[in-house]
Amino acid sequence: MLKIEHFSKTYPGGKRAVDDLNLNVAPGEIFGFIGHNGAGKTTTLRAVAGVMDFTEGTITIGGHDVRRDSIAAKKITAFLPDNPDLYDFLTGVQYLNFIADLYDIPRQERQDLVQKYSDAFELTGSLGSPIGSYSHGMKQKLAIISALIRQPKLLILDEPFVGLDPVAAHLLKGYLREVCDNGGAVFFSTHVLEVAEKLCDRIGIIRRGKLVEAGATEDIVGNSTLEDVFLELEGEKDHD
Amino acid sequence: MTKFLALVSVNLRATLNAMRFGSGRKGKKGGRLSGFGALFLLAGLGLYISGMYSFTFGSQLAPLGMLNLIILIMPVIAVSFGLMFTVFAAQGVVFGGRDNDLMLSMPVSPFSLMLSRTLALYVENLIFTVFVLAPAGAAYLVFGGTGGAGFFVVLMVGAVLISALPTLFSLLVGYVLSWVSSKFLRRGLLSTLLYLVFFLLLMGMIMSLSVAMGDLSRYAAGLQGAFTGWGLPFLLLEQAACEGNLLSLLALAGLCLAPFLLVVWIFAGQYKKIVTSMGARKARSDYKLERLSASGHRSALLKKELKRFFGTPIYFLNAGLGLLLLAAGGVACLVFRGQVGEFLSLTQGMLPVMPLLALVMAFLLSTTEITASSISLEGRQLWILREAPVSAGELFLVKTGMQMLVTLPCLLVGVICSAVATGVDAGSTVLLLGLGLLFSGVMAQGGLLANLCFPKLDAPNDTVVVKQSASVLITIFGSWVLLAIFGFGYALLLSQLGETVGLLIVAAVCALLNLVLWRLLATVGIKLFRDL
Repeated sequence: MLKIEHFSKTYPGGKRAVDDLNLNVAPGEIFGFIGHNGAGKTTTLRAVAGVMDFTEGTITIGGHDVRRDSIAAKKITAFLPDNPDLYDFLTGVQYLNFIADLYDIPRQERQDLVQKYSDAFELTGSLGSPIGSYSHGMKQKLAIISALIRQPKLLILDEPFVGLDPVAAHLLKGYLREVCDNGGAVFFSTHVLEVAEKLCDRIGIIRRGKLVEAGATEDIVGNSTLEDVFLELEGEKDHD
Repeated sequence: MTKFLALVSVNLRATLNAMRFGSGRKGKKGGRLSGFGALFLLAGLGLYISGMYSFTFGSQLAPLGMLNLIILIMPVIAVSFGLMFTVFAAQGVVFGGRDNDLMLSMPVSPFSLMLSRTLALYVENLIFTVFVLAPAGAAYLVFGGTGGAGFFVVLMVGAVLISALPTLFSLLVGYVLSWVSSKFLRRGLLSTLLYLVFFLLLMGMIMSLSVAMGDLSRYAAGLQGAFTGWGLPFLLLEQAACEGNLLSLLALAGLCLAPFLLVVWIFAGQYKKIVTSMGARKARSDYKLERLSASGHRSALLKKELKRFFGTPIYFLNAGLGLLLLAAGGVACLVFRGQVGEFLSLTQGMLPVMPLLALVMAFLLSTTEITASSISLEGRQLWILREAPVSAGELFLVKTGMQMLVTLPCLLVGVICSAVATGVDAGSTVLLLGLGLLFSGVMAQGGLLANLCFPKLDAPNDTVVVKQSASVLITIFGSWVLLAIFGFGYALLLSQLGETVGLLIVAAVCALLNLVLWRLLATVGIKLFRDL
């Protein structure tokens, strides 16, 4: 579903955020991307989502090159940034309808999907209010609903559990699995290693822009815990 | 005191940063220097307006022995324009800053915070006032006014004092409008309407002043009399500067500073309460999902642009006021067509009606810079468009198309009404409309390109984007330069070919500019959008 080959990104000023990254995410797979702050996770996710331009390497989603065939690639993806800023001047339902229009979701289908997800996240009652009146968690839920109603083939999430209450976080985990059960894939970053360990089929660890480890979760973790593995790779274990 | 100075410094830097030419892109340098560039542009606007008016007034008033009137009128203009500039900023900077939570959590008193933000508004007014009064003082001296260097020093001290007035009124109006609009669900729309009422009142006042200025010799005595009432601060300034009356200067200081400090003191005492109540938004939790509508992506983007335009008062009134004036001016021409006809008959056909109508229309359209801030206004929400399956070209089409769509009805009303009132024939009316549409296209595309070149994606609020960002200033100045070229080009060359042919050539140049700009947007523009 997602194929990243020799992807590198250097910001103006010379900072090389990602260096020659290669990885694949197969259909039906939840791929967790972990690393310390500034390791290059968000840069990679933004490049995959087509939000950020890059010049080195290729990224394809469902066979569509995100640079050359960006519209086709974006049509089958949904991206949720780490701190989603939404249009304050729209109401929740206007925002969802706006997104549904951009993705050409048929009327009845969008009605059913909006109903399903907004009921599940207990947001339906607030959909008539301006987004400006929402709390951080409500905005996060709205952004998640707007991603799920697209029924994406690839769901790209940057720290999706930040700001969510435990019920909403539990629901989200279920919906991520649902995306995979329907033939899609999930590519997400997180700092919550317990979540990554339990939820992900495969894990990639990035350090200073380079992928230092990638593989099936059970292979990486082995008899240890993901936290131990991560700290060891980061060189922090010795200090404990 | 150290904390207060730090707050003042950060607020001034924020204001300067908001005006910078830097793109807001990561890793770009040179923002502060270019911020000074934008500041020079603002000062240039003051110099331009004042220089033009002051020397015109000077030539009329000197023979009448009423040169002092310049020092009465120009401060009124400075205060009026200052009020128009800062009335929005009061809502955005003083009452609605995005950093309220952060700043209120700091170990500084709300009083200091409020005062430091107010000071930022005051400095903006001061810069504009100084650059309006300096040419006025120069004109006064050039046409024979007395006082020399002493006069100029007192005039500048007066500028320091009188700048408190627009700041004071901005605070009051900004507070009242913010408070009223925070009580309603559709606060954006309500604020827009309230601002509109306020601006109509202000425009009415300025227009009545303009009528008096049109025939200064007739109205001069009356004008001078008026300043003993509402215009007392201006009269005191004139007495202090022109007559060297220090008592007047002291009275002016009291009249300007006392109410200013009193209002600031009252607001500052209640600042936390005010900001908290304005930050709280009316929300409901009993919504039931109704049948959703569906449309295409272009229509969705267009609706979103329209909602932002009509729901953001600062955006609507700064970028759309010219359109309202265009339509209102046309209707006024039609209503007073008797007087208009009378005036035209007096000129015995010497007045080039059609070119003048075209010039007025183009000037009002030049103040319509909707697209010049439309990319910047996306700000932190730009990711939504970047992520959507919509090409940059389509996005540009929607943004420019939206400006054209909003312009069209006002253009039709303005041009048709004024054409009927002035007796312009149908063919020429169509030419005027075509010219208006082509010029609007240049404005829309030029504004969008300017915004792509100078985006401001990290502004603390919409006010600084719409009012102070470099792309808006460049678009306004650029369109005025274009108008000046068209105006002089027409007067010197094209008028000899006849009105219709002359305006047709101007229209052809506009059409060519549209093509060039569209090509630039399709190439450079897309590249710039990708780099955001």
